[in-house]
Amino acid sequence: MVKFEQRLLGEMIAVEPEVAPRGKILLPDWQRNLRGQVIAVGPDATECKIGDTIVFGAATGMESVYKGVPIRLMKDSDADAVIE
Amino acid sequence: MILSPELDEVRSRLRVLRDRVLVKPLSYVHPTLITPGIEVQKGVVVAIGYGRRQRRKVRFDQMEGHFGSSLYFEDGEETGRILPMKVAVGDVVEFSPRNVFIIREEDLVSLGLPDVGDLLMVWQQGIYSIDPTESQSDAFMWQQPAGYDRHGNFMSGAESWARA
Repeated sequence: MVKFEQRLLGEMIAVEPEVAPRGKILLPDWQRNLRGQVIAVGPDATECKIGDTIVFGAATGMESVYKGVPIRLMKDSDADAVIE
Repeated sequence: MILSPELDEVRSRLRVLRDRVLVKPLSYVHPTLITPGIEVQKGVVVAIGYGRRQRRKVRFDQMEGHFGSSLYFEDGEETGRILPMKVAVGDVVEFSPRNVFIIREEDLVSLGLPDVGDLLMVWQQGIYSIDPTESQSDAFMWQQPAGYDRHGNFMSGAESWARA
């Protein structure tokens, strides 16, 4: 898990997406779900905490690269579920 | 509908957030609403979130100075009120095929969850109706193609059908 040293605002969270196994049929982004590990949360984020593995839609949030690792910045409310 | 043990395990491992609903799709064709490309889907609710967080409504004027043509969107800050869910676990629901995210069975299996096929993540607003009679019945859950047991294993006929 990459160490995220920037300060997130509001209910933003930073997620490091996992490389999902590719299925037989490729789905479009607006139907596809990804999962990833939360690496940083803003002060108002209530749904998940650092280290949680969450499920989110592939089209949500903003893709970015931090220290060479692809990450995704999204709002706390964009997460669909937490895997326990 | 009582969930199968496999779906129950998925429900215990996945904590669904807000007003999302995790649905196991059922093969279904609506008797009258048949439109190419658009089909009403039916499924069993596997897990639900805790409810929708209400937001303050914000006015949006379509034309400046014309108050009659204002729209109100629930897009402001959160009020702190949580609206309860209208569906429950085990309900058979009809929902829109739009705004549906698919959790593939490969993803579930790679997490160590049982193989229950594809699951769908639906918003509560996308659910049209709850079928009360089918919600009481277990018939849908145990549907399986002839010749296979409910785990997908081929049965040649020599096995005991009590296993299916």
